[in-house]
Amino acid sequence: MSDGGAEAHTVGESEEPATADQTDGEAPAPQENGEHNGPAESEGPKEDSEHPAGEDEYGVVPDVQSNLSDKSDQESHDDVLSEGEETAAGERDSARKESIRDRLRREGRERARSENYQSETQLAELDSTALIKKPPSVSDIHILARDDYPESYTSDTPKETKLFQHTQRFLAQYTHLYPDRKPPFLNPLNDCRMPKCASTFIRPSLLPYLDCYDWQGCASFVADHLDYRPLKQPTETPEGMMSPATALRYQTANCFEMSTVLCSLLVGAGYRAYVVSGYAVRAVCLRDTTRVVCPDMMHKDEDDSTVESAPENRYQLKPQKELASKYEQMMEERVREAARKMEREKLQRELEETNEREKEPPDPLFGMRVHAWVLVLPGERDVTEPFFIESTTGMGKGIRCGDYLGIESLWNQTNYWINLQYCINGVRDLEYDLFNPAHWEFLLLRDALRTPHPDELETDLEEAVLDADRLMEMPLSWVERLQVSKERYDERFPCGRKVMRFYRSKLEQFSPYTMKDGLVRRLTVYSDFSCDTVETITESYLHRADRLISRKITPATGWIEDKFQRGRDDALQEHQYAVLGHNPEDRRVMRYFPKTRTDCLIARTVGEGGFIEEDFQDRDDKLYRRVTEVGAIQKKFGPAGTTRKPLVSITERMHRNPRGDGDDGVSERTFDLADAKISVVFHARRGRVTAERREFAKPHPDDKARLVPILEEAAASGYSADVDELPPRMLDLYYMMKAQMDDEERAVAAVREAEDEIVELLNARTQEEAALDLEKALFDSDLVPQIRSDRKDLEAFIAAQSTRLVEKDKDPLGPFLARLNIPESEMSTPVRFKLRDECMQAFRQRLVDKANRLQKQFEEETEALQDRQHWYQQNYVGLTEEEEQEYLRFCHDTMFRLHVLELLLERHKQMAPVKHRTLERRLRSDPRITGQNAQDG
Amino acid sequence: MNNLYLGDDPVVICHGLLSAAVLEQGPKGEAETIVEHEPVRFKDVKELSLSYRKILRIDNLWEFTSLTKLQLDNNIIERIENIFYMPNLKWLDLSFNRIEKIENLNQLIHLEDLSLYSNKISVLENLDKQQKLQVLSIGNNCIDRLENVLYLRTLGALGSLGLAGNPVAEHPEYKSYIGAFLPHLTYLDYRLVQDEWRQQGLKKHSYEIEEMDLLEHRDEFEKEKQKQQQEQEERYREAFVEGLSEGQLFDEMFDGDKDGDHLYHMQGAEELRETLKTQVVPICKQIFDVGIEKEQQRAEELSQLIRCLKEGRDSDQEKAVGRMDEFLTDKETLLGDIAAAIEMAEVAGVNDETEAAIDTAIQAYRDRCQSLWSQLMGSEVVLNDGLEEVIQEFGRNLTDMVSSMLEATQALFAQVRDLEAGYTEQVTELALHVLEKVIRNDEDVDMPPETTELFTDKEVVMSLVTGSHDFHLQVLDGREDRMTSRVKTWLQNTIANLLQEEEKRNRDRVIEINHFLDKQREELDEFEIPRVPEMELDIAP
Repeated sequence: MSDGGAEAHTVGESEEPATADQTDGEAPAPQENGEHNGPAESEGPKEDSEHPAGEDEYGVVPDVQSNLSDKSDQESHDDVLSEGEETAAGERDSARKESIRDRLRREGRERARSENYQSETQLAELDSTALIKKPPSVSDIHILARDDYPESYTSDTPKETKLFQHTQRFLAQYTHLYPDRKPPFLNPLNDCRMPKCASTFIRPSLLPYLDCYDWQGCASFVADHLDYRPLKQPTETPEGMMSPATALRYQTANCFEMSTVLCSLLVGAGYRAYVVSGYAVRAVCLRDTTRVVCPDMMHKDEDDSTVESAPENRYQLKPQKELASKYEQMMEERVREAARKMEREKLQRELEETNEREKEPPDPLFGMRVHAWVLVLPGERDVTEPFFIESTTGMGKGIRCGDYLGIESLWNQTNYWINLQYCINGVRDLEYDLFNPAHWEFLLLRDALRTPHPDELETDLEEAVLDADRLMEMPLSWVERLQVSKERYDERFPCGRKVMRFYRSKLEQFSPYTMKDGLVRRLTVYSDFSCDTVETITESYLHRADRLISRKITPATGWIEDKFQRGRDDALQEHQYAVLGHNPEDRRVMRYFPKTRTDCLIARTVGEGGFIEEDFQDRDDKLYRRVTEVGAIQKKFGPAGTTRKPLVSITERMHRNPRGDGDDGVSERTFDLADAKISVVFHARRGRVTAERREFAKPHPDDKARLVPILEEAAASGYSADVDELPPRMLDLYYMMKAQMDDEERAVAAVREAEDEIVELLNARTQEEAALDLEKALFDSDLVPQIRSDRKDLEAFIAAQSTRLVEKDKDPLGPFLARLNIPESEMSTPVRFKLRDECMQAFRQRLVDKANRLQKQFEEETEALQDRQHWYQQNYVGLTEEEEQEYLRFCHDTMFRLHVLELLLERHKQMAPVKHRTLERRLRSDPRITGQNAQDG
Repeated sequence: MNNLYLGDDPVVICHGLLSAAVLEQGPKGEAETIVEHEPVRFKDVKELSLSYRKILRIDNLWEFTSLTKLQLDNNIIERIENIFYMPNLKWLDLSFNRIEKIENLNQLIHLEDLSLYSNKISVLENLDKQQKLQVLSIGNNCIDRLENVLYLRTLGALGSLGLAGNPVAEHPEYKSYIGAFLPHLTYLDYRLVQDEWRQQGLKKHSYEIEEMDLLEHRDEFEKEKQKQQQEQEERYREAFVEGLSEGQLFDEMFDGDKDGDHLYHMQGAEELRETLKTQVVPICKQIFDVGIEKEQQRAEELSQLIRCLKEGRDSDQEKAVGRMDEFLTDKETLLGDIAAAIEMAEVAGVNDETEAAIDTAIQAYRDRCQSLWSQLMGSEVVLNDGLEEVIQEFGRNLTDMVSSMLEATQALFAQVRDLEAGYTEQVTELALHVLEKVIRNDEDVDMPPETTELFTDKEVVMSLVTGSHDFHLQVLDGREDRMTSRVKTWLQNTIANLLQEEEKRNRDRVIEINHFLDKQREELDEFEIPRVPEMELDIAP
């Protein structure tokens, strides 16, 4: 939950009990009462700012219709409260929580019962959706006090006042001219219940994220980031709306607020975007996407099979003549055609039936449901065709889209237009030339004048001169600049998750790092509309330590397909296996990244009945496939466990190895291990259709006598493609056989290694799945709660450490204070002075001591030197050379030490007064001496 | 060391000696039993060692054509000879002999290792063809000139050189000199060539080395240029427009023109010729362009044809291989059936029934062979017909292209002829004018005396003009005829080659198919088919 959420509870707390008590008292009372209370309370300025309700702050008395329709809304309230409280304010009074929750839930159910058109399944649908989602609780909304808003929210600039007057006049004219039409959404109340022009709600802002530079990115961000709240009254335009900044802050919005946010971002990114207020079908208004195919699944169907046509050749061989009866062919074709027709009809029937079954029930409010969305007109950012964006789902729609049934008005940050065209056919026939006054009535002339219609030019100008008001400019937006922190942007979904239901599918999305196993999206595809039978589940993962990026589960077959990123030690790219296939012998397919493994393996398939198939790519020995047949373990007496399954045969296939000497190498060879035979087929030489073949029965190593017969047999039984060729030399055959036998040994070793590797891989996968670990991307560390808190702790620790050290280092008063053993606050002024004097005294003493020490040392050294010189003068005649050397060295060293001491003394003499002064100054300003702290306390 | 053998008689390489050597050096172990059974042929032998045998002359080795390693060390050989029929030889050891000259090695172009250690060689020579030579061991010889080592600069692959024991190795600059002049050399006398030696040598001989490098580079460059020119010339020749790219034809027209030379001395003749040149050369260029363009078209056409032929052949081959595989799988079951039937007969005793069963099984196999044969042969016939048809069509297209090219060039040649005629006319006029002047003894006739002499008789002058004209036309016609005839020959040859190639392929394929099936049918003979014996009884009496 965002910081705003936490704040919400603290602010809202004082209000909550009152409401709760009220409702507790009249437990069975319907919700309407509660809502009546809302406007009553909101009269006063104080209550108004603190009022917790989300939608009803505009003081609308709900009618029966709203009762009928805002069921889902209520339900979301219900769960919102429960979820929100559980997560963010768990410590709150549970009894009260219960009562509110119960009340809301009960009412929600009552309402639901009164809905006569909603099917039970849909109810369950909405219920579950709401359960999974955790939108900010009702009390989160409007947690900002009126004072917390900038002044621009609560007051009007003179320009805005003037505009307001102008719009009032405009409205008066409008209602006079079009008495049948509803008043336009022109001056909605803002967060602080100030009426503001709808255009000024749009605050063009560009978010500093690359994705948000394109409309697709903006739209999907808005749809993902904000939690959609259907309108309270589906057939009425709301009285007011939150500013886009507030909506972004609380991550919840209705269609008008969402469209305003999206429009602000689009205009900020340079698009010609408009907020459209009009009417739409029920599915759009309620964001019911259960009849829309999931955009991700549509992607899958796209296959760009661009067939490259070979250049036309002037010479073509005539195809071989087919000698067959045309009559028979015709008859067969007729039968086939009939079957096809049957099939088609059956399909068609089935499709119709399905359509009938899944058709939306009729909507009693059809054509009356108010909705808002965004229109993008061509002109900027390479947009060539106008199109709509449904802000609640983030999808683009064509301007002839049947989902929208009419347009009342549209606006951007500069002007406001009212539609004068009939919407009998929905929005199909509308023209979007906003400068054509026959189709669109503008609010402000100034903007409309930019490209005036030639016919209207003169009259318009005249009017303009007369009506100076209409020449005014739209004031700048009063809304704060829209901002989304990197953290919030990366989190993307409110509370880290979002669930959408599409046609026969469910899409769950999660923010990175929120799920323990790194799950970021799960697409469940059902085979029926009521979503009972799961067809496939496709999960995507991010930042997993085992590099798993996606997993596709097909429950019907129990088949799982795991896909991995590059970076695994075993270069695994894909692993397909059965749900219960934990044995190495079970059917499975493993694909590896090409050009990564040293053995050039790209795929290994373990099949039923004990065979292993391996595919290789770009091997030096041109081997591209090896198929091994594994037999069953024969029952033997003796210690079990160590024996391995016997290999029955190994077949290897090789690519052509062009060596230039006509011999292209072995094409296929089979090591028949059970029968101790090797058969070799060579590649056919260029231009030939038959290839050399040889078969060897492996000789026993000790049986030399068998060798020659074996080779003679091989020479006779083999086939050589060359007619003129002499029978092969036995020696050559012998070497050929030897080579094949060596290769056999190698192949067997490789297969055994492969078996080991499969076991190893399975073990590794089990371990990895057991010890789930996410890798933290370098720049994502803020997203991982654990890392974030760890880092903050560490930073705090370091900060504390350093301050403590500094204090300890620099406090000259510390020891004296400790000696006094009086709490700081209790010290009297004389004590303080005494303390200071003591400290100074001690410092002076230290300085003197140091000077003395240096002096003493100097004297000692001098004395020693003199003694030594004296001794030398007396005995220098009889001294050995060594002794003399020793003496000289001593003199030299002592002189050096004396010099250093002298310098130190000199320096000390200079520095002592300075140090003294510094300490004195410092003590004078120390709060413990001056007693500042004590006085403050 | 050779003295050891001095006292004995030299030995001649004979069959017995070779057989013994081959046997001795032949395969060991298991393979030995095979050799006993099937003696090694000399032509299969890859390595042969004839060391310490007092051989005087290399001879009688002509059977060993696939030798890659030959050791003839420690003999008393005096001449390198009779080893040219071992083109695969990579390793030749002639150390410890009495060779005085390197010779007769030209055929051994794959030689990589050559040892001439301890001989009496005094000059490094005759090693130009051994561009793959990596190791040359020529120590203990009589090479005495350091400059002679430079000869080895041409051997680009030479990495190791053994020269120790030669007088040259005593030279104070031996190492540095060789290091500097043989930059590719890594080992000298089996020791790594030190950088210091090289630097030292380079410092001393930098000038010479640079000069040498420069010369070699220039030679290389020249060669490259010549090669390019030749290639270009070859391309033009293929387009039949060689010598037409610039003014070559024009020069040819006038260079051998003796009559015209006289006329050329006339005042104004030079201008006329220049004018003609400026007109003729562009037309020649046009002919040239047409030729090149048409050549490209033909090449494109040919490549299309070849692609078509290749596709046809490949697809047929693929189909045939598929059929063969099918057959081979069928064959196993069919042969299994036969074996089973025979076994039945053996178990149950031979009677008419079993015989009939065996016959049916055999017949099934035969039928299968026959069906494969007819499939393969059938598609082969269709393919052959199709390919020949395509080639004929190509021939027709090519003929059209060639004739269109010839038409275009003929028109251009006609233009050249017209220009030449105009030129002749102008020259005639000029000549008559000059003739008049000469007859009038005008002063401003400035010509060599022998030409002036000719300009006294009108007949002579006219014959000069005609002679020159005829010569020009002759050159032009010759060029045109050459082009036409060569184009036609080329056309015929191309088509004929294609057809011939196809025919050969067809023959090979038919033979191959029949060979394969013969082999398959032969397998039937391996069965010992039990027969009912009474038949013989009937015939016996």
